[in-house]
Parts: sequence; C-alpha cells; structure tokens
Amino acid sequence: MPTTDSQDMEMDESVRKLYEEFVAKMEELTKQRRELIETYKQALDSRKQKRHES
Amino acid sequence: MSLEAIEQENTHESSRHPSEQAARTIEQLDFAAESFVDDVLAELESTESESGATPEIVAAARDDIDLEDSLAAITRSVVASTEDTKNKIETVADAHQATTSYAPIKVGEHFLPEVEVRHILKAPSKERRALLEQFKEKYVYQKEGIALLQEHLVNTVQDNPDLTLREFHGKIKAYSNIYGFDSEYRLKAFILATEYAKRHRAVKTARELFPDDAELFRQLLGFAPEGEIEIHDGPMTFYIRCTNPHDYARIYYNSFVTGKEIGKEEIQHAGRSTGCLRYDCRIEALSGTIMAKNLKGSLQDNPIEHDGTTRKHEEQHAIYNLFRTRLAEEGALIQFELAEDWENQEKPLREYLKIRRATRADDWAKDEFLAYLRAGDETQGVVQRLKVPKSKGGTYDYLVSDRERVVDAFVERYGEDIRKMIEDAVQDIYTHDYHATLEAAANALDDLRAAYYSPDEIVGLLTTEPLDKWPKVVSRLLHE
Repeated sequence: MPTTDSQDMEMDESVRKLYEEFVAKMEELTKQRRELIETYKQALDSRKQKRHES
Repeated sequence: MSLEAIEQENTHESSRHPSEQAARTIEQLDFAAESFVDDVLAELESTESESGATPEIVAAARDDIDLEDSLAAITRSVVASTEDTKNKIETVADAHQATTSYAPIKVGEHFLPEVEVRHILKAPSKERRALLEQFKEKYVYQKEGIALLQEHLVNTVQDNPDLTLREFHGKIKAYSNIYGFDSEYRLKAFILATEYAKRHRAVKTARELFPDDAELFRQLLGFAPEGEIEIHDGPMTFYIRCTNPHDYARIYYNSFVTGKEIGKEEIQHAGRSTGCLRYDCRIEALSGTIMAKNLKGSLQDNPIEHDGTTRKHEEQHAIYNLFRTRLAEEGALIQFELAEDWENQEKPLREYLKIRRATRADDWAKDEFLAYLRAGDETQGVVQRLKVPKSKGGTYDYLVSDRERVVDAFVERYGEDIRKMIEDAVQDIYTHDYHATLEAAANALDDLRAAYYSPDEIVGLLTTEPLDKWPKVVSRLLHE
C-alpha cells in the first residue's frame, strides 16, 4: 500500500511536536544547569573568602 | 533516457524517505544529549579556572553544594527526556509504517542476511520454505535500502558538498534504522563518508593552490593543454572541458601514465566518445576525480549551460561509481582485517585486488575489445597488445602505477612482514588472473562472432557486463 502525502505530513507534524517538547525540556534543564554552575561559583568564592579571612 | 527524464528522476531521488524525518530527529536528540554533557564539563572547567581556586578549595566547594550529585540528577533528567522522546518518535514511525506501507523489516530491526541464512539451514525442513520466502522479502527490501541510501548520499553531496561527517553518519544511521543495516555495513558506509570528505577536501585544496585552469590542468595531468580548456569543480570531481582533440585523447588514453603515443587513430577513436571518467591522476589524493568532456568547437560555441543535466548526471554517475567501488573495496578490506591468518586473509585480499583491477584495467580492456571489434581486428591481437607490460614497451599496461601503490599501502599499514604475501597476490591478480580474464573474454567474443552475431549486436550485449563475466554471459546466450 503506498504512503500518501497527507499521512507523511501527519507523521512529520507529530515528530516535529515531540521534538519541540524535547527542546523545551532541554531548555528547562539547561536553566537548571546554569543555576548549578552559578551556585558552584558562589561556593568557590565563599571558600576562597573563608581561606582569605583565616 | 531524455534529459527531462533524468531531471525528473533526480528530483524524485532527492526526496527523502517518509521515515527519515523520524530517524533524523532521533539522531538530533542523541546529539543534543551529548552536547549537554560536553557543555556542562566545559562550563565547570572554565568556572574553576576563572576562579583561580586551588585544588583543595575546588574539592571543598564541590562538597559544599553536592556538585556531583546535582550534576548526576540533571544528567539523569536529560537521559530520561531523550529516551522518552525517542520511544515516542519510534512509536509514531512504527504506527505510520504499519498504516501506510508494508515494510518487511520493522523500524529499528537488524537484518543480517548471513545470520538469517544460518537460521534457515538449522530450521526443520518443513519450515524452511516459509522462512526462505520471508528471508527473500527482507533481503530484497534491504538491497533496495542500500541503493536508496547511495542515491540519497550522492544527491545530498551535490546539493551540499560540505556535508560534515556527523551529518553523513546521521543519514547512514537513519537509513540503517529503516532498512535494518547491521553495524558492519554502517561502519563501511561511514568509512566511505570519510573517503568522500577526504576527496572533497583534496579537490578544494587543489583549486585553492591552482586557481588558474590551465595550471590546474597541468598539475593534474602532467602536460600543458594545447587548446582551450576550462575546469569546473564538482563536490569530488574536476570536470575538464576540452576543445582540442589531442588534449582529449591524451586524457582518454591516460597517456601521462601509460606513456602511450597519441596518433591519428587514437584521436579518432577517442573522438567518438563525448566524455570519460579517468581514475589516474598525477596527484594521488585526486585519483578518480577527473571527468573530461569532449567538445566539438570552441568554449564560446559550447557554454557550460549546454552540458546542463548531462553534466549533473555524469557527475552523479562518477560519485555513485566511486561510492559503490569503495564500498566493495572496504568490505573486502574489513574481511581481510578480521581474518586471523593468511589462509583466511587470502580470499578477501584477492577479492579486494580484483575490485581495484576492475575499475583500473578490466573496464579499459573492455573498451579496447569493443572498439577493435568494430574495426574488425582479431581479438587475439588485442589480447597480445593489452598483455605487454610497460617495462617492455607496452602502452596498455593500465595497472603499472597501481602495483606499487597497493604493495606500499599494505606494507605501510600492516608491516614489512606482509610484503612478500601482497606482492605475490598482486602478481597473481594483476598479471596471471588478468591475462586469463583477457583470454577468456577474447574467446567469448570469438564464440559470438562464430555464431554470426554482428559487431553492433555484440557491443550491445556486452557493453554493460563486467569483463570477467563475458564468458558466462556468452555461454548462457549460446546454450539457451
């Protein structure tokens, strides 16, 4: 049975939506990653500060 | 086939497989997930180096915020998202495949013909017939997939010659997912992609070094053109448009390799062809990139636009041929490397040399046989001419430059111990077996003549058959 254009388009559209959802999740995780790096920077600064003070 | 038909066919060939979008997206997910990890590592390194903190401070700060645990948690989320999305896409693709077309191999299934055959042979005899039917269906489907992938790659590099290896690999994986290619095929196809990338870079570099067409011509072929020429760069080819019959004949006869003198007869013979693809080139990295076009009249009378789709089609043909040949060569080489001892290495080595020989000598010899057949020459005379080595004044020793090249390449890769073994195999395939192939081909031609086939009929029957298949083809014809 041959594949029809509309069925192909339907599948492409579903795949595109899934990919967009994935990209949104990755953006959220990237945000968490950046926050973690920021927290890490602060922890390093704080440790350096403590070392300096002592 | 008309030019319009070729154009339409090309347009059709360029269209992607319906499931390719799904497979390509899965590839993008993997890439995104891997990049995420690369990025976080880079960010950590730069944060630490910018802070100028000592290793002790780094260790303490990491402990303070449970860095590794937090990182693992985020990475687990990345993996989960990636896997979840991949599964959903595969489900969509499977459902699409199930409702729209019947595919004997399911998305993601691996079909290995050799393994399947072994299973069939072990099965109870009453089940074998059904299993064999199933096998045939899958086998044909996979073969179609291999052809489609090759066509797709050829079309893609024409549209985007700078395709990266990652993009190549993505396409190979996408087709593998649909047509069940195993990892060996995927690796062979990837080696082929690296071969393409190497050739494409060599073409670009040569052009940067020699922007002037006449100088590039001289560098590629070892002689300055007598007439007007122009060179157009393809993804991995130089398309040389010649207006001078002598220039064209020198390329046609590879005279810079064979040393063949070009006289009136050769010019006339070469002049009958409109174009040719030549394997040898003075710059090793550019072997197999030269395509020559034989023009009647000046460049002004023959603008490149007139070559139109013919040129595109010829270029596709050239790339496709290189892909196909290289794939077969790589297949044999992998078998050679996998074999543990000489007993098992000999067969793939011989096969490898035969594939190399086919494009470098057999195809040429075939042209010579058919050309002289039209002129009414004795086939045995052609065999004698083709057999004379260059060292004894022969001008048809097409394999002269490849003998040393093969031995050197193997010795460099596998060590000096292997030299004798390779030299013997080269001597056997490039001389004994080649001469036997020439004689058998000549006998086959004589048999056809004796059966009153006209030269035109013979050319029509044999022109697309490989030289070493002539005896079998002729025998089938005469005994049917």
